[in-house]
Amino acid sequence: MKKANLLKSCVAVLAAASLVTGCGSGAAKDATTATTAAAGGTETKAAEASSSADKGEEVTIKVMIWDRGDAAPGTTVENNTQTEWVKKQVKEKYNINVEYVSVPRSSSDEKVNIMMSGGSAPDIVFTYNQGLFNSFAQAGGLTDLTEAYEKNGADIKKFVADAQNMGQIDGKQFAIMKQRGVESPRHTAYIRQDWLDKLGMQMPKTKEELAAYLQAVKDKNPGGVDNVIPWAMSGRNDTEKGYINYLGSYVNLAGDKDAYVYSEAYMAVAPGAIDGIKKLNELYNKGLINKDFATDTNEDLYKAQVTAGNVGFFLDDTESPWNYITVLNQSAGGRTFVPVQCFELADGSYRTPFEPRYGMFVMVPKSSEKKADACMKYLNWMADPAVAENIVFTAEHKRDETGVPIKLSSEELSSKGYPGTCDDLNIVNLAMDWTTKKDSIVSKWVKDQSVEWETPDWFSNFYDVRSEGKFRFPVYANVSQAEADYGKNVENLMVGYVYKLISCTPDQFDSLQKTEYDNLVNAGLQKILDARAEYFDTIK
Amino acid sequence: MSELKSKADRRFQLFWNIFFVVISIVALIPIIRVVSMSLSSKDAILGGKVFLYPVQFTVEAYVRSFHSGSFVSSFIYSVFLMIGSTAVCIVMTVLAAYPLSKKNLKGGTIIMTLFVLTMYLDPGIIPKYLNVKSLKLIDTVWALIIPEALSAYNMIIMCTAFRGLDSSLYEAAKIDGCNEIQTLFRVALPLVYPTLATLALFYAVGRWNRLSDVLYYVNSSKLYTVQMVLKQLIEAVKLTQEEGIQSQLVADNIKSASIVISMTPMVIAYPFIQKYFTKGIMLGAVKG
Repeated sequence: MKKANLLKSCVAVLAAASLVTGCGSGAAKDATTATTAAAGGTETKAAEASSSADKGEEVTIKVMIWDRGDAAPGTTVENNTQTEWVKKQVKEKYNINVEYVSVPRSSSDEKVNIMMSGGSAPDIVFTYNQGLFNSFAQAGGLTDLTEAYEKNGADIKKFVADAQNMGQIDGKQFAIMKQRGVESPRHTAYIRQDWLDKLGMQMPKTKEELAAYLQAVKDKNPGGVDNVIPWAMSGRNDTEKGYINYLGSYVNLAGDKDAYVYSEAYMAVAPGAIDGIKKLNELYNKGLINKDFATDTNEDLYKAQVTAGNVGFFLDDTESPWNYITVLNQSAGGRTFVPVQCFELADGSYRTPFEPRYGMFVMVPKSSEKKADACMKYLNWMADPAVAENIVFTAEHKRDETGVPIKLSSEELSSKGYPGTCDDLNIVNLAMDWTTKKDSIVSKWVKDQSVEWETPDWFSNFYDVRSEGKFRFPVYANVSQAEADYGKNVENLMVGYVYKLISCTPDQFDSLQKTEYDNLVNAGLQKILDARAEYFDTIK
Repeated sequence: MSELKSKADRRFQLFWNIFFVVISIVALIPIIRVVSMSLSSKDAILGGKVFLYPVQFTVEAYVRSFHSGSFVSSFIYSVFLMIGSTAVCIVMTVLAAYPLSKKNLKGGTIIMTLFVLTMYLDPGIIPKYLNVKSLKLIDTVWALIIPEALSAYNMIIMCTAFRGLDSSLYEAAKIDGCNEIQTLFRVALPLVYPTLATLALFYAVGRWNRLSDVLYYVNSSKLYTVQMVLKQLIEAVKLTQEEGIQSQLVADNIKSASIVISMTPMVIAYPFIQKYFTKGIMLGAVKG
């Protein structure tokens, strides 16, 4: 009896298995048929609409697209209302069929690397990682786009020329650079306006005034909170955001060479930075920085303290702290944090490092060399800001009175079959018309907030404060061998170096600094700095 | 039994009891925390107020998770994939282990050595990828089943279980007129079902949690498993910084709810299979 049962259940499971797996591939097949059918539909329409003479031969290109798991129900990131719209446009204009290949956003570089090595990459791939681009180019894995760019890249030249030098290696264009939108600093500091008022202090303009404020917060606890933290930091070991602007103000960048050699990741080891670290160590030992920050590696505690209103000052990414301030303002019932710039340089001016203008490296693998022209046409098409706007905000979007495109709500996107992040289809130009005007940017910020937690004045002030002392480090496409080999590791070690020095006792500082710096040198720091200096000399 | 226990025995017993209670608590706390987070409001989580019990109780996160398109469909797909893949794995394992358990199999030792070698020598990801590519499995569901269809380790456990059966059973079956296939299905398999259940669990858990092959071998988002979708959700925050675009962060309560949902099948399956667990692993070991 038992044996028969077992056999039966085995067979049943097997049958179920074959059914399921059959289903899986069947579904995939259905999807492809659907795509071809759709593409076929537009093809006939396009043929009727205009003569095919000026559009060239029919070509099919495969384009990578990021999957963030936010496709609308019943659609995929490769096939949805927005991709169909793009496909239709490109087909009508250039007789190019576009197919999308999804790549999980969170493991994008890994997957691109595998596909490139395996020779099965789509015709257009992209990454934010300069090292990855450089290694593909050095290994001969990329198509030289110089000619295609000259021939079919008119709009890219017109609208996004600024960033293109980052994609050139030895005079050859190996990548088209995506241009960023709103110009934005890398980090912004925030301070409690309500606490300043209670203490009767002015907005600090210098580091000394900031230190006085921090001390007053510790002594007088203006908010009357249980666990007051004058300056909150996190111990995240993959970013220098919590201290770098402060250290940077101690560094004198004499010229472009210094600015290039110590651009931004290496700021913590630039001449003068050590004075800044020493000052932070002093603040730490006075109890003005949270004692246990270095153990808070995923910044949970940090976020919780800021949100709970125990913190007087912090330095973070420029816009992401809004998430915490929103919650805090609601529970505090009014204005709390405001942006502040008080890291003055030796001459009293400010230097706020901004994001470079270039964003992604958009590449065509060597294996797709024959399709270079078609790929360039596709990229060139979306370089036009008007097209880019329709891609990011969908063709159905409207503009408000200041000319800012209004984003469809996530419910609308979802019900109409658009993916949650249409931005991902726009891989060349984020600099749309509205992104250059202050009024439009401020109006967009105000409208984008899900709850009203601050006034338009606050955002307008935010724009002014964060732009004070705007500075861009010089950037070049070159990545030295030393940097390719040791760069990532040294960057992470440098974060640890700063954390250790901030949180040691003052008498240990000098000896610890010496040993820790030696560790960095052993890990390759000096080689990288030398290579950067050498490169700068060769181009000048 | 307990009457016979000396004081030392009791102390020993007490020590281990406390020890295991502590271990269980340590293991349970993260799970409880995730469950409470999934039932709390996102503001309470951001404010660090949630630890062991929900604050500002709400089931909004579950409603949102179920409404997001890809999560539910990938969840259902993953369950079917897990069942199908486990079935394939078990068939392969049994069919490899049974012949190899026979002492009189010609070249058996060599074949077994070859199997064992795969446990020590790993070709690395690029050769594996090229292999899967040449077999034309890229971007098919089979790429998630065939490359991992047989684990040498599990096959050896299965093999040992077969060897542990009394040889007179096989002789009796032969005398009764069973051929090898009948012997396998009617005599051997029913006797090693604890091992079978345990290995099925190993394979199922392995498939449910495995992420790398989904990342490497699959290009259509339809074929993403639930773990892949989860990874997207959880890592979304870091990425928007790199991109410099302002996008809505995925709230912590939705992440937690997704984790809880993806954990559920395993939590449900474990108690049913657990009773075979120790029995299955030990079955061959002692007798072999």
